[in-house]
Amino acid sequence: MARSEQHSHGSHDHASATTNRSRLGWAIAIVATVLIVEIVGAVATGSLALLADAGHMASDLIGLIVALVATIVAARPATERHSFGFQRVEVFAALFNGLLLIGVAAFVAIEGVSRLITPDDVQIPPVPLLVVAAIGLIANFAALMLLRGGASSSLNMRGAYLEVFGDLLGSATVIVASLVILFTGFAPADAIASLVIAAMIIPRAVSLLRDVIRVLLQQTPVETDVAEIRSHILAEEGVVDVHDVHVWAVTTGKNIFSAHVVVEPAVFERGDSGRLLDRLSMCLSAHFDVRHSTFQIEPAEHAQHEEHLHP
Amino acid sequence: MGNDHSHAPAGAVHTRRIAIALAITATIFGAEVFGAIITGSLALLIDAAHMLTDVFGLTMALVAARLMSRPTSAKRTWGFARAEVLAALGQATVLLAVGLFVFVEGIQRLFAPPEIASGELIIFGIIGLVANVASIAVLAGGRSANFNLRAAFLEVVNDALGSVAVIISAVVISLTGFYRADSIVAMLIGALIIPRTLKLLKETISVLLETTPTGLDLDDVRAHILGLPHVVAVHDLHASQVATNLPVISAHVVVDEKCFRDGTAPAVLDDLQKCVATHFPVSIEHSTFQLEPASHAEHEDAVHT
Repeated sequence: MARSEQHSHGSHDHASATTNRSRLGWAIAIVATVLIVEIVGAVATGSLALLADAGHMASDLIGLIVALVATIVAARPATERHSFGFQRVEVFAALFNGLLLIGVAAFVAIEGVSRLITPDDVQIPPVPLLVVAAIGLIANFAALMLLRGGASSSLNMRGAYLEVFGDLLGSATVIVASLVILFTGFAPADAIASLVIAAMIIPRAVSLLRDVIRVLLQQTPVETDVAEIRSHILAEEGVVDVHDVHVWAVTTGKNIFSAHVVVEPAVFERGDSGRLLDRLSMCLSAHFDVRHSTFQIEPAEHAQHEEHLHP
Repeated sequence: MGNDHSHAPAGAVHTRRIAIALAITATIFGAEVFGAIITGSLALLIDAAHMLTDVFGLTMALVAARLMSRPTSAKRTWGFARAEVLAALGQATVLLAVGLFVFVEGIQRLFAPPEIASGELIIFGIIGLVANVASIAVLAGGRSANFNLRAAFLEVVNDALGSVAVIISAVVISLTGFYRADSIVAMLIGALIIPRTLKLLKETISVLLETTPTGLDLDDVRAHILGLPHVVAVHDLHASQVATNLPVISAHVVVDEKCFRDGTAPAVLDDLQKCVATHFPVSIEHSTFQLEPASHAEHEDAVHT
């Protein structure tokens, strides 16, 4: 597929892949810089809050690096071992990021609950916390703006975007919490804030994972209606039946289609199967978002000696 | 994929046996996790993780067979065939995580061995061993001599060995107070499991990446197809595996224009399907060939080799 696109949609796909890569590269640079600043700050001041946030940033950085490596691998051309190319690698990166997000969110939620039940004796100094969170907020906001443009282009980019989004939420809620603590002295605000973060991140991560699993399980892409495709095919002149219809996606948006189309004997006799193939291919690419299709046009007697038939 | 002894199709006769074995194994898995927590034994933990592969394998044999026989639908045109592969990936990931944990923790414990409740450990070891033997008895009764028999036997013996090792370490600890025995045994069991886990991980990931099935050389396939009568060219040749026993292939085959007029196209199609089903180490029953006249390829926008 990778090579084929360089023919047809080449310039567009190639350009967006390059932009996504540079988006990720810049986001990594920002997050890595903040991470180093925070670690240095944590060592210098002995602040636990800084160290905890650095932990977040580190998970973020890992997620972004995985996403970047995936985009690089995905750009490799198809080989004999990988005849569909390597774009599936990006789906794995999204799987990794989805699981990482859920792991971090679950950890934050558990921490939050345990601190609500048994509040820390250690008072969190609100002012340093506020400073850390503000730095994180600015950095994450910049990274988020960079990644937002690419978020809808692939599951991988959506995963990377969500990583940063989670961190942004984290910084924002921490700011609110430290302001609340500063002005009202309401200590549980911090723990409540972590629960809010978890509640906002988990549904997004789950939805990402659901899409990832749909691709990995070879399910029909959401926007594709197999019944409608079947009826389109059956409506073509000379078509008697259609079976073994399969639609799946290498990665979101790169749909692969195959079907066995049973035709009247007259189609072969007239030498019309070439034209029927043209019409079927045209219909599919015009009416449905399918990049790669294979139609096996067969006479009725062929289907009878095929091993396994299913709709 | 999963465990070797889950491959055999779960016939109606076997379903009950598998269900019983699953119930035993799952119970023991729970008991061993509980045991690992109360005794502090690393060996018991890794043995429990190993047990989890059995639970998984048996569940697959029981559920996957039923799930995979469910008809395909418009939402899932391949049915649930892939579920098996994804589940195996999950299992391998968990095993690998436990394995790594055991090694990191085991090495630390060699330097500062914590106390292990060896009396309880012996009890849990014996429970594990008895359960393994019971599973063997239940499964063995239903097995005829087949391909998987040897592999299944080795797998089950392997499991029993884990329990024996746990018992030995518990005895050593209670007699000599040599607490390091637990970590050593844990790492030994880990060393047995991790290579197989990595292999499973590699296999599942390669299926999920739509890699060409092992044993199938696409160059070879292309040469065969080009060698068939009337075939002019092949492009868009793709092979992958939906699940362990479901390799699929699709290709666009350019044939002589006259095939479409004199009615030989269906015969070419038969030749193609017979070729991929019989000529290669991997027999592909599910193939889709798009026969096209040379004029078609010219206006296809996505032609590649």
